Amino acid sequence: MIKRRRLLQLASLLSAGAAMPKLYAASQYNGRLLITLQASGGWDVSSFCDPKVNIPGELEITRWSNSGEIQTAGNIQYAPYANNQAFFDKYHNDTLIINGVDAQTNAHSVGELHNWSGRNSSGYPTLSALFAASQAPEMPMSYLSFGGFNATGGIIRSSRIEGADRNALTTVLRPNQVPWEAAEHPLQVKAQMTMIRAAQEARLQSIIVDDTQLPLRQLNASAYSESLRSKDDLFAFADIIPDESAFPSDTDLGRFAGVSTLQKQMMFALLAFKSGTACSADLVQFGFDTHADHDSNHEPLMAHTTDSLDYLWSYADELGIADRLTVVVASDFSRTPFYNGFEGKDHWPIGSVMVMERNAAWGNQVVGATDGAQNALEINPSTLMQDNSSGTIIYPKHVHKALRNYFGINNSAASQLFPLSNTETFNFFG
Amino acid sequence: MVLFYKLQHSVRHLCWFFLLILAYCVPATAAAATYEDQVQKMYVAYYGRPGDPGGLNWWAGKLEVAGGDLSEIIDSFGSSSEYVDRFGNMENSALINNIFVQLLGRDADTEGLNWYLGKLESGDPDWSLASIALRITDGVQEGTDDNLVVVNRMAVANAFTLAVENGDQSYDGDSDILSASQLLAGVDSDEATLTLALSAISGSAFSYYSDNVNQDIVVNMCSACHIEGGVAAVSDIVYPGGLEANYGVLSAYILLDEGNGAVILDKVRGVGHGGGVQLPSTSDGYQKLSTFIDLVNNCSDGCVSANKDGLFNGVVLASAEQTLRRAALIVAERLPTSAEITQANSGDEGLRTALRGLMAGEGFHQFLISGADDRLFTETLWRNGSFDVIDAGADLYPIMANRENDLMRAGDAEAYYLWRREFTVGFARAPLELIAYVVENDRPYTEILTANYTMVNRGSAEIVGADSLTFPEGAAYNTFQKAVNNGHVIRDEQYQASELEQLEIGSSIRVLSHSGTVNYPHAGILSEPAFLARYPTTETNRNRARSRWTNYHFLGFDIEKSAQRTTDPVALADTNNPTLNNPNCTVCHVEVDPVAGAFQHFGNEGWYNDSWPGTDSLPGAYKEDANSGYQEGDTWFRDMRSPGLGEQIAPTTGSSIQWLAQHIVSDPRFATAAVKFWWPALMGAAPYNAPEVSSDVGFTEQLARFEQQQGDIAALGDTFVSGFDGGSAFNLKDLLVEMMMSAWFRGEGSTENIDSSRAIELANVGVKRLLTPRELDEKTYQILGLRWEEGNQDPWEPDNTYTALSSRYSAYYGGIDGKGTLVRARQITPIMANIAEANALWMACGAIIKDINLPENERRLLAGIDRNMTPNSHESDIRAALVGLHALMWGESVASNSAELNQSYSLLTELWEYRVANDTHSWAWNDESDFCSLPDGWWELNGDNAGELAEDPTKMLGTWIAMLVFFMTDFNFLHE
Repeated sequence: MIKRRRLLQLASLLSAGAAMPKLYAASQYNGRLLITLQASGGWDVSSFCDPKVNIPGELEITRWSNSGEIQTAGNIQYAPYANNQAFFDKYHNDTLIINGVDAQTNAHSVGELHNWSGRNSSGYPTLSALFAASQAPEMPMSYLSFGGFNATGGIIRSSRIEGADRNALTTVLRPNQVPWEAAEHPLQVKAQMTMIRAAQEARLQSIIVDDTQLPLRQLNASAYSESLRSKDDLFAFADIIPDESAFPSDTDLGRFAGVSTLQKQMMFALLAFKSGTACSADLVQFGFDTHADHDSNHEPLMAHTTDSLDYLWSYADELGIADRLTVVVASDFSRTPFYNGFEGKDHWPIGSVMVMERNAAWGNQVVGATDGAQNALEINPSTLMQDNSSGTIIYPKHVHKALRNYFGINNSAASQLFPLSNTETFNFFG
Repeated sequence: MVLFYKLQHSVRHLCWFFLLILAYCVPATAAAATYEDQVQKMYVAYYGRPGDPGGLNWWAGKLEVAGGDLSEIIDSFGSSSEYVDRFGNMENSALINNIFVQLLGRDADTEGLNWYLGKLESGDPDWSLASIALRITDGVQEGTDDNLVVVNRMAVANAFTLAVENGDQSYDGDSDILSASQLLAGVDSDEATLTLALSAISGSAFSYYSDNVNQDIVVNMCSACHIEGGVAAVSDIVYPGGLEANYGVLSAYILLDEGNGAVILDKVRGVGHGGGVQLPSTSDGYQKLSTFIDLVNNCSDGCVSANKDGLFNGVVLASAEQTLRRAALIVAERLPTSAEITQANSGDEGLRTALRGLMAGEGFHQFLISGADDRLFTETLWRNGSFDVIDAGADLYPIMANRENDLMRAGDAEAYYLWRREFTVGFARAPLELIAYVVENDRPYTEILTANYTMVNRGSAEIVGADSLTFPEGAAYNTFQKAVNNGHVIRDEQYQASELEQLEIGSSIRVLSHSGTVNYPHAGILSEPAFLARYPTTETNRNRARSRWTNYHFLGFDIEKSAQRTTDPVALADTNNPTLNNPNCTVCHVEVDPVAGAFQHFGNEGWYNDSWPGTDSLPGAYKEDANSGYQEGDTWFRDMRSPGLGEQIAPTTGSSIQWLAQHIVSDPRFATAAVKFWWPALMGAAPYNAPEVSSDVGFTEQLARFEQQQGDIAALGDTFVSGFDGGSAFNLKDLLVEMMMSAWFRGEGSTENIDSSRAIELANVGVKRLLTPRELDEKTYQILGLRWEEGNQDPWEPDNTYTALSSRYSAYYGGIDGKGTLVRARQITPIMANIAEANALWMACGAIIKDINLPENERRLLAGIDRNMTPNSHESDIRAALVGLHALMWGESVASNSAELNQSYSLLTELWEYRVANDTHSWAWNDESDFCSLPDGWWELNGDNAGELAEDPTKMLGTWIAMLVFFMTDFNFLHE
């Protein structure tokens, strides 16, 4: 018979996820909730949370600094750009900025890999996948993905629920219900479905316990068995989806970035959290790769991103889950501290990570640093101060290690499969 | 790392010779080697020959006992019978001079000779001849020619001794001793003498390298990248060129760290290697490299070894019939016929023929379209994204621009959008249809890049000026034909267009005049507007994205994983054209930029020669920049590498994109890239990436499976080039057949229990992968004759191809959108399980009611059953029907009294008993506790007798409906 421990280990090494020991019934999970927002393409932190002004005699680094100055909200410096002021004025106490994070690449795929999995070799899951696998793996949609980088390392499966069609979604969430009937009206007698499920499960178990079966069949059977057992928990999600008129509108960001569904992603993720059917979600906003006409393309995108974060927190408040929510925002890397010949900015490995939590003790703080030309400076892991003698450059692995520790998942069975050992420990979170 | 850096530095800036010597002088263990080296040196000086392994070890042991003091044992060492026999008749002065000759290759100077002679003849016991030899040896100064001779002779002596120890070199009698002495005597400070001597030693690392490694591996493989200026120029190994120099670099790296030999063997197997797999561990080349590393490490028993075990040992293949069924559902979207099953069961060749026979018809066409789109993602251009090359303002297609203007001016929005959708689908699908056309017509697969035509539907045919083509009514969107693009013009002096007009439906222009249409340089997929638009470029990207994906799709080369690059911001903060000049950048750009240049005539959105006056696509800002170096007539940037492929430069005349296409299909990598391209469509998962970190859990097993797969892919690629079993070259159908004959597709189980290690190795092997939304849709249709919500109107699905599974719920069921989600879900989730359940719930009732009312010979599901048969009255008939359903729905062949059948029969009786006890309605459903969805219009066709069709006097129809739900939601229905 296939062993649970073995199954977990195998699953992590195969192409997709498998069963994990059940830690919570879906509705009983009251722990932290995680959203990561992937600013896909490489955001310009010199016009956001690591503001840079032009240096006489050097290449122009930011256009805004020709007429503006670095602004401050609490202890956080920001660029007077897009809607940064409104955002930082409102959220600086909830925000930790980690600057000078070196993605060690200028390639998008490697940048995504490094920033979201914690290393620049493939095989590791995203932070969100690891979080879900560690915290509440048997929630029916424990790990939500809305596109972008979503490697699971095989420890959990990602679910997709985006889309504006409420009827489609509710049909999916309650398959044995005539969708246009308000009262309960199944397509198949419920008692009969129970009998069918039992027979299905018996057949699945005959595969799962047979170690002469090839692993692909065995794990797929295991995944299906688990899905059948937890899928009725999705009713809780169906119950709280609002009328479509309450859905946030998509935002047309123009020809370059296209139409953004970011706020809809946020709404669905938060509703899933609220219903106890998910505990982590990867959101994605495309369009930051502004090699030409940087400011005219980047500024509205940054504004939309911070506006959407405001929507996220407001809606989380409305649902009463804001206090449980942690939000991590980052990108593939950053953009050059100079403009190219086409008013654009190309790829630059030194970027930033923003972590948000309501009234966090570690909020209103900036750690890590870059020099005036956006080169990363060495930081002492203990003091978090610049230290050229015993400090180190901050890499994504440091951020991931600190977040794992902060979430208390660093010793989970899932994390054990993907160790971030032998790295310095930055105590970003006090 | 510091040492690595130093090595790199040394390799680049110091003489290779130092490294060659290092290869012989770095000991396995410092102390023991020191003793052996001291003894070896005395062998050279005193006896003028290399030590034999036994003697060397014996004296090294004695030296160790003496605490390393050679003077304690030197007299014993020197008083051998060999010495008396060989040198006993020489005068003392000659004996002393002989030591100089043997050790330093020169006569002693007179003063020194006389001084040593005096000491020897003084009778002082401290000045024996052997002790004088020791003193002469110790007196050699660093940095002198004498020292260089000693180092060289020691290198030869050590290599010789090792060769004797390994049994490669004879050392038995006087003649062997004489030969060895002469070998040493021929070595002086000149490196050529060292090389000559080393190459004369049988079995030495150098001679082995010279015979087996240098040309076949280092020169032919490694040196493509691991050279100055090459892709791997910043790696730990950079070959200077030349036999000795290359040997020096490689052997020095091996000796630098005891793990380096394994690192090299991992790299050539593709582990963490930008160059991918060069030598699978089952290859002869890998074995030779492994042997060489052992020789360098003086490890005669084999310190590193290759995995020669087959990955598929013990794996049981699915039967021919099972394989055929699975293949039919995947590549033909149908079930196999009885004749095909018979043929498949006649043996391997029969199975091949049957598999080949599946590759025709609409199902196979859709397999090709879907499989290609899963890689190229061009469908998304009409479904989800902008498609600038044919969008409003696409004024280089005047037929389109003017037709759009007409329709907008007329104000008929529906007509406009229908027209627009039609040609947009035409352009977006053209690359996929091109592949399908090539494959379905058994044309060489190389034509996907070399085709001098495009594929058009009715809408796009009009725009490219293919007026002579006709299209059948009712298939406007999905019927494609060959055409040449004769609709594209350029902006030259004759070109005139109106100002942008804001009309009711949108803004539009009219093209008022233009010169003739361009001679569009068709290069298969590479010149397709959809391919170009899928990877649009910018003024600074300069076609590099197109290059990256061209390399990836058609050469199997992932540039983003290809090279070790610095990420030092200081190194990258270079504004002096770093992609051409900065080695930290050129490491990649040397591969990327020539291919990017080959796309030179295509502009940002994909238009051809879209820059004024229509001779190039260079951006205006570049052409107008006085410092850019632009000269009139240029078609490519002067600050980038010339258009080409690798080191091959495209000629300045003719079409560079067509030149590129021809060179790609001539590249051996094209064939293996084709295998990789189609792998996911058949196997349900992309080929493995090489494991990158040796400390990862399961690294060894991951490496083993990766190697096996790469080897199999390479073998398939090789035969693809030459033709399978006498077939034509580059026939994709033949390739697909062989892929489906492999254990990767056919693996069904194992003769033994699979432990954790084997499970990692065999991951993704074999049957029961999750069906895609479309595959499940088509499987349902083939069995039930129905698709979920088929025919519901959706204005955005061409030709009303809408179904619930393939359209509305595709994304929820793990489908891709070609935009943000590019990889299909391969394991079912709770939401997906719900969709599968919904598919069954909405289909089962209608399918059963429809089926039971068909004549017996037209039944799909309930053969031999009527609505009055119950378990009480007709158990055997019901069991027979269930046997049929096991086979039809799941491909299971079970006996009527088998455990599997008993389980199904038990469920049926349980369901029936429940319905008998609880359902008082006369129909098969009751509209309160359940529901029935019948096919559109079917119910009405039966007029006044409709009610009779659903009559369920024994509750068995309702039971069969529930059983069909069971069959349709079973693991074996959802996975094939």
